[in-house]
Amino acid sequence: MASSEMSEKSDSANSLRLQTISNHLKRGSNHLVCSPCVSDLDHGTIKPGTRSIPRRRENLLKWDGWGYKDSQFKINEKGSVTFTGSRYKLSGLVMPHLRPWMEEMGLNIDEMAKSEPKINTENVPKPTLNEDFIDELNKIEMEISTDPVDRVMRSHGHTLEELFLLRKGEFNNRIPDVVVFPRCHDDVEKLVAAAVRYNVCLIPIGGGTTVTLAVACPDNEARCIAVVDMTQMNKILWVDEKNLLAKIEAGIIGQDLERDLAAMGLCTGHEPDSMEFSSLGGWVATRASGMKKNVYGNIEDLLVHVRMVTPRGVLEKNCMVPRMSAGPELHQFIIGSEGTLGIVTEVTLRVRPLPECQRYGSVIFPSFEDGVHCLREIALKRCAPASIRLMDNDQFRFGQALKPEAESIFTSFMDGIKKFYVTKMKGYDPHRMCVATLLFEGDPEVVAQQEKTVYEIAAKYKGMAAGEDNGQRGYMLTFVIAYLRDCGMDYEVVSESFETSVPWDRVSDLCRNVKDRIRHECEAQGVRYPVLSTCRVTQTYDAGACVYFYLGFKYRGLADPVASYLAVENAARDEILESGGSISHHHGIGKLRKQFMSRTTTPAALGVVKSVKEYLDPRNIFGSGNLIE
Amino acid sequence: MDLLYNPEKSSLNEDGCINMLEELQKHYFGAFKLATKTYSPPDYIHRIKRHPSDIWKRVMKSDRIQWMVQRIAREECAPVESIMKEVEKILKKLAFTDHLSLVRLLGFCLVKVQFAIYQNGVFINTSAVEKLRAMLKRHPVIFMPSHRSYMDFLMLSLVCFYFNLPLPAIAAGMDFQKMAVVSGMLRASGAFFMRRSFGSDRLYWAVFTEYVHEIIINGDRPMEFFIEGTRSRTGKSLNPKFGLLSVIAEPYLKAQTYDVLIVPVSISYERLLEEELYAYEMLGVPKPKESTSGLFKASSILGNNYGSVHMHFGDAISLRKYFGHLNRSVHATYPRYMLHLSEKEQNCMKELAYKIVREQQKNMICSPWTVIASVLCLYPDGISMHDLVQNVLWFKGVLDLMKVKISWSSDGIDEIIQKCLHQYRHIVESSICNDIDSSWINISSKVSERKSLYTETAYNSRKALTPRLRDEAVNYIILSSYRNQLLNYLVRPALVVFSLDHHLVSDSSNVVTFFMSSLVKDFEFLVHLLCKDFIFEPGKMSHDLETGLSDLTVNGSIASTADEVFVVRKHAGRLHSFLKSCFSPFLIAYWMACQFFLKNKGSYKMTTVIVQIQKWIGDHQKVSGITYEMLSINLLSNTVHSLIDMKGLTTHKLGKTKMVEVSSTTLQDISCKLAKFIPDLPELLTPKMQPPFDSSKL
Ligand SMILES: Cc1cc2nc3c(=O)[nH]c(=O)nc-3n(C[C@H](O)[C@H](O)[C@H](O)COP(=O)(O)OP(=O)(O)OC[C@H]3O[C@@H](n4cnc5c(N)ncnc54)[C@H](O)[C@@H]3O)c2cc1C
Repeated sequence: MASSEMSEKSDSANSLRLQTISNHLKRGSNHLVCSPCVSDLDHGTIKPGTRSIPRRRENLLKWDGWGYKDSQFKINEKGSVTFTGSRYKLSGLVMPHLRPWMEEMGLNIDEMAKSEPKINTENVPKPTLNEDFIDELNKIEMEISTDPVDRVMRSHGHTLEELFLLRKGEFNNRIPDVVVFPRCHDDVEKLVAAAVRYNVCLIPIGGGTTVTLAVACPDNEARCIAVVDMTQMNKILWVDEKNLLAKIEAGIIGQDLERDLAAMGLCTGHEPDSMEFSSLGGWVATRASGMKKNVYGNIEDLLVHVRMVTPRGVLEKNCMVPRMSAGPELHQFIIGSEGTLGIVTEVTLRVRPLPECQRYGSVIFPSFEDGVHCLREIALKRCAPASIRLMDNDQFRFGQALKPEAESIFTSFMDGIKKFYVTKMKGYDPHRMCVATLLFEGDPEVVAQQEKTVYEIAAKYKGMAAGEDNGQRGYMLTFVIAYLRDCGMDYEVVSESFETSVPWDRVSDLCRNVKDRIRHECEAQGVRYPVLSTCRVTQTYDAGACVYFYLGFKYRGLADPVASYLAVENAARDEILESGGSISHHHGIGKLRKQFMSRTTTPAALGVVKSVKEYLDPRNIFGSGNLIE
Repeated sequence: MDLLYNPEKSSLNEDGCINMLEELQKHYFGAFKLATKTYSPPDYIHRIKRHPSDIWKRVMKSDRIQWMVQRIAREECAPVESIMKEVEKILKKLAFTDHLSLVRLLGFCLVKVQFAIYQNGVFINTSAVEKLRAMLKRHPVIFMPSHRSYMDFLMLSLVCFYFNLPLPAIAAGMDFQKMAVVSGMLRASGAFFMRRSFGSDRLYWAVFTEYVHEIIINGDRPMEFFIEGTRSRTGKSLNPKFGLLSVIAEPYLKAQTYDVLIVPVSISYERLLEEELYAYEMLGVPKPKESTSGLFKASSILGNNYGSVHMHFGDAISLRKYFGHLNRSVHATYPRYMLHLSEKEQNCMKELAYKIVREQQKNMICSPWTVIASVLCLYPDGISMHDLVQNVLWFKGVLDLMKVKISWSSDGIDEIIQKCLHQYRHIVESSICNDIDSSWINISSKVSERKSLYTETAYNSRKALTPRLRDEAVNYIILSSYRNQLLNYLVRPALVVFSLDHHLVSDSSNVVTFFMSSLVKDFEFLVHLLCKDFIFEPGKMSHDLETGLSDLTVNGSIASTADEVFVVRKHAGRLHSFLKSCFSPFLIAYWMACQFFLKNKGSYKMTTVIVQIQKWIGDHQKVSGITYEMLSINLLSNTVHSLIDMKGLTTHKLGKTKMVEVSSTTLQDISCKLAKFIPDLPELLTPKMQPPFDSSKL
């Protein structure tokens, strides 16, 4: 909790905070800051200081899928798709267009692949325990667990292959042998020392939302594997409103961090789509990127100071300054190290006053290329709103399929479009047009000005404003899409998302090539049903953009759906690299993309990474095997 | 419906081809029906529909052009606007337009003409067309037809129109542009005009490249390029040009398209419209300017039967598959509009170019006439009908074993030969006897009125051949150009046979053998020498040698015994001397050129030296072993270039003119080596001997 440190803050800072909060209240609900798409960020209902994810994750979260147990897409008695629970804007609503859309993809409600009802503890591999290590941890009073459910819950991330296996009730040969719960930085130092002494493999885990097999245990690890659950290190240690900094323990989960800061009128503004479940340490370790990076920056921009415990000792700087020139930047070795060098324990982040105003918007374009040109100019003029995303036509139509039955908050967008269509927008081809969703944040004046500029630029590229609701639904989609994947798996669909970054002039070509490649590879794999192969531009930079792909297909008839799926994803990654894209924009490498590393740089460059690893961790204590061999 | 082509209903011949003209003739007013049919070709999936003028507007705005213009402006201190004007000018000359009604008109005329001249039909392999239809939707397609005639691109467009395929954008030579009306028509049906050589004009090159890329990437139309660069005048394939291929491959290599499909198309004409034109050109009559009136003059051909045309669409070559091993991300660290291909890529490009030409050759269909012509070429003084039939039958057997495609009709061999002789009565004469077998066939010495027209107008240069000599030679040149079509397939075994001679070992029981490895040196020399005249992919020498050996093995003239050891069969003589005779004219011509240079050492202007050699050989026509076909400019020009490559000649610049100089020791050496392969070296003073091919020796 932040309470003790909060009292140390200066009066002036306190008053500033109060002022910001009262400003919000004055503006009324329209402008009250919240992220209405994310479940628990409804600040009214959940008290600051709450830690949302319990130590026994399985009590709240699915063991075989994404997110909260009570939230899932389901077909109701009337045969329509509905989203259960009450956490999200979409919860309790019926989406009449979704089932027809699913059926278009070849889904059949009678052809199901149900998951196992629960973890079958009998099948869980027996732990390989290192008695001396366990004794030592007991001696220093570290909380540990060898419970099979605890171990299974921390044995995986959220890649398709991991979930597919879980749902079948199977496990990898190697899962963690013991779970350790450090409570503070000192605990971690002792833990690492013990691991070094007894040659135990350590794998840190935060939210376990990795999508690159980063927390999976290497199959050939013979040593005892201890997974270090960081989520009990979840305090905001202090907030310094003078310098707008906050020191935070690395295990804190995104939604808890933002909720607590918001109570002080502050925010980090770092909102990866997984923020409900992912942790600060995970963000640092994977070099994460948040939706609103245009205003707040990516994790590397936010991070001012960090402590990492390595077998060689603690890595940290002795000052917390905005920038320095002292040889290669140490932080850059820590950010993106994916748990291979040590454990990130405490992070000092920049924080910002909560924005006073937040507004959604959307623009439709006659074609994806027009949209890309528009985004390019917005980036050029440096007037990008907090978030701007451009969905391709398939995703646009997919978004339409997610439209709930007409009710108050979602005004009937499609009707609006139709009206547009017959009047002004004649000539927009419904099979080519696409939509950009916008999220503006900041002072009302700034937001107003920004809106004006953005819509003006959009007009130059035949873009037409298409309303706030459409924009808001676009963002909501990203928070529920992972739930939809589980539903898909119930109906024999494998799906996944992946990303890249690419210079502006190659964006359109890359998108087209990769989508084509996916289709062709699916054909080669013998996929018999329509393939979902769609993308969106999710971030803009001066020199390029981040592109995010969805890929999915019904696998009935394939001998090994996961192998086929992987072949397709690897082909897509190959195509990305060939088209001038990067190996990753924010998901990282983990073990999933390791095979491509040597293609993305020179041997000398990989040697640098290896030599750092060799120096800090010569015995490969942090043996998760991520990044490079 | 007036969809003329219906895959289910059309009748296929035994090769799976339909006769387009016959199909059209099933309808009343076939040409009119074609011109007015509904035309809805399949669309490339990623194509954005636009007007042809949008293409060049996009080109003007493109990064490549902007970059190049800025650069030139900076370096030459010229205003950007004026360079942009230049760009626009180039584009206007380059670009195609799109007028379906003109296409229909053109189609109408063309079909009318074809009905008249291609009386035996126009055949197309339809199964490939159906595959193509599917491919055209998925990827940009480039047609790469063989190039023998003006008719080529008219033909391809017509066939595309007939089959409801999108009309190609055709990269045509600038020279067509001079034909006022015709160039407009061509442009309307998708031709765009490019300079023959870009030289160092970087602006032109940039504009051309960008224009082609625009079309490929958006897939406005499939494209049509001639990899041989120009029409082959000799019946043989020409060595491919790599530059254009790089332009085409660049969008794929730089990941601007998912794939590019190259479809080699083999267009085989039974009889070429240009047969005489080419022959005179080879004899040094300057090529008539491609003016409209010239084409009209050519319309005197209308009364003749030019037999049949076969258009074979080969298997598409996917650049993605072909270049699959290349890492395209090497282009990720600089802007894509800067032209830069790695050495590895350039080498692959060469390989691909050769592959395309080989594919074209593979699917060419030769007419029986080429077989007859090959035999006739060996008997300059004529042959009896009986011997002709015997030789043709034997040679047919050889070609069949080598799987050369020849369009034999179901008629008996005598009838086929009779028909051919009739069709080519302007070249060969047969003296009629009561006994057909003993009627005598020889090459006609008559010169048509039109032919003399060429000769009159063009004889003005002291150095050129006399009109008389030209007229004597022209039919031989024509005849050899038909034979040449077959030489593409015979060159490898023939060079093996030449190489054999000096490496045979015979044991006590008279078994003659040779080691494969012992041939290598000679074979290599000959390949090196003849690589301008025939297509040899560089670096594939041992493969060529193996092919030659296996062609002979198939024909039973040699057989492999142990590792790399071959036995020469007793009956090998006929085939071997036949092959040698076919290629001797080439070797003798090369040798003669060597003699020319060795006798008159010194320095020559590149532009005139070939005519000088021609004249010199012309002066030796009476010498035994020297034949008319050695007067061919094409052959002599290849010779000179080959000698330059082999360092027997050297070149240097004198001011702006390119000079050739003799490098006597090397040339002497080449000449000696070459002489080894020529059984009866022309003795430049002796009277005429036996014809080089003597059937009595068989
Ligand atoms: C639906 C969904 C949406 C997502 N959206 C985004 C997004 O918008 N932006 C984005 O960047 N990512 C996104 N991700 C990916 C993932 O959420 C991020 O990689 C996130 O940073 C991982 O955090 P985590 O706490 O879950 O880490 P984990 O999954 O627990 O671990 C990830 C890696 O970090 C290491 N690690 C974790 N904690 C520490 C620590 N304290 N010290 C050292 N190493 C540690 C682990 O060993 C592992 O290698 C998304 C994933 C999903 C499933």
